[in-house]
Amino acid sequence: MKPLAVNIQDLAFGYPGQSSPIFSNFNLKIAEGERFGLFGPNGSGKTTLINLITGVLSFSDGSIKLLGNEIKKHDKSINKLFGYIPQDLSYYQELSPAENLEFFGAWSGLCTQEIKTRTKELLGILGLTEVRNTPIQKFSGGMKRRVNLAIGVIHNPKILFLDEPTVGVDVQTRVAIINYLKELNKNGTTLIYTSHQLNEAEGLCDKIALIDRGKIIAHDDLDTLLVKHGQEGLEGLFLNLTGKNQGNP
Amino acid sequence: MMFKLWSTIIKDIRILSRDKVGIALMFGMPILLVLIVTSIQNNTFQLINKNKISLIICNRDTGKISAEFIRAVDKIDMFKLIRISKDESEKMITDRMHSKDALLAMVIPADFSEKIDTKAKTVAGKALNAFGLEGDTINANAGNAVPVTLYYQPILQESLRQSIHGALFGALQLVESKQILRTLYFSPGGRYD
Repeated sequence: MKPLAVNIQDLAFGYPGQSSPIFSNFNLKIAEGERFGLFGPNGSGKTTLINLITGVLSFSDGSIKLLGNEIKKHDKSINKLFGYIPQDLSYYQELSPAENLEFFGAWSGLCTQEIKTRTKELLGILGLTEVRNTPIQKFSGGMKRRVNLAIGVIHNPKILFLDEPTVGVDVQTRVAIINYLKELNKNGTTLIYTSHQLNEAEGLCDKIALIDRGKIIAHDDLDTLLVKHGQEGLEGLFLNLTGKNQGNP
Repeated sequence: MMFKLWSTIIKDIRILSRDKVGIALMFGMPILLVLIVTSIQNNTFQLINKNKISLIICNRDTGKISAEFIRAVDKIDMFKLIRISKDESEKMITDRMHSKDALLAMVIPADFSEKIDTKAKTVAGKALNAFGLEGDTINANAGNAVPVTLYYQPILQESLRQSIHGALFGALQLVESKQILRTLYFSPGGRYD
């Protein structure tokens, strides 16, 4: 059995003022090297779960381990293990991609030489070399997404969380990003991906979990789930498991 | 840790250097604020200086000290002095104030110079005795009260009255101090030689 990248046991969490918790006795295991997709309808708890795993939110009951490290201990070295690419673009738009990578690289614990090497490498892979010194505010949406991705992987994380990494980009950029993510995974990075673009997810994820109202309603290899539920695609599987009529007027 | 701090400083300098509005707000606004506040304060200062308080002075004393006191009051630059005859009665002075000639009146009594002189001799005598020298006979009760009479218009606020009183008392103390020094150094028996 592969070692676990993420191991969640008996997690309980609720926002203050809520009558019932979002998660109660929640368990999830994600093995190292997986391309794991976390899906669910709006308000199902996907982003909350990622925020709990990455330490953005804190919890009292249960345990979350990243590569065997308990995140409750607030050990800063855990931060170097993972990267997080949020849905909202997170960089300084007045600065160029190179300047942003220099800053975020420093905060990820890299030395000057490592930052220079990684910056050159990432800008090349993501097609940003020509605009390396141009302020990001002059970029198109797709270029901004690529910068967001570069910042998330500057420190070569072993686990990469992606929250809708391709939202609002053209097909070319989306393909470029997905190909780069697959390349990262080949080199050993565990991908934990969440999106509403299920066609894209089908091409990227080899294992998925469907989550609804804080409960996992399905968790297996994508192909196994499709066969088991007699579906041809992830969209059909999603509607089948979460309720076809949900969201209909 | 130092590298992170350095990176943050560099990052912030870069952002600031590209934010012209930010720079304008950072440096321009304080300068503008200084100019506005200075302008307001200057106007207030000019307003105060231009609008001096009218002060009727009735000097019934013929000595040099009262003249010196009036000069000291004039130097304060807070009052517009209206000198009236020493023969005017208190009734006439209060009538003048009622007819809004002045907000304030000061009557210097005929024995003003004498009182100040006595007080100066007393203080000088005490000082010389403390040094084992012989001074004039000490009159312990001499001149503790303010030896002038002040009349205020009722419309004057209490705070302004306090300011006026303080200013006049300051002028009086100046005159008294000068007189004490004169007594110490130049009067017979008080000369220090």
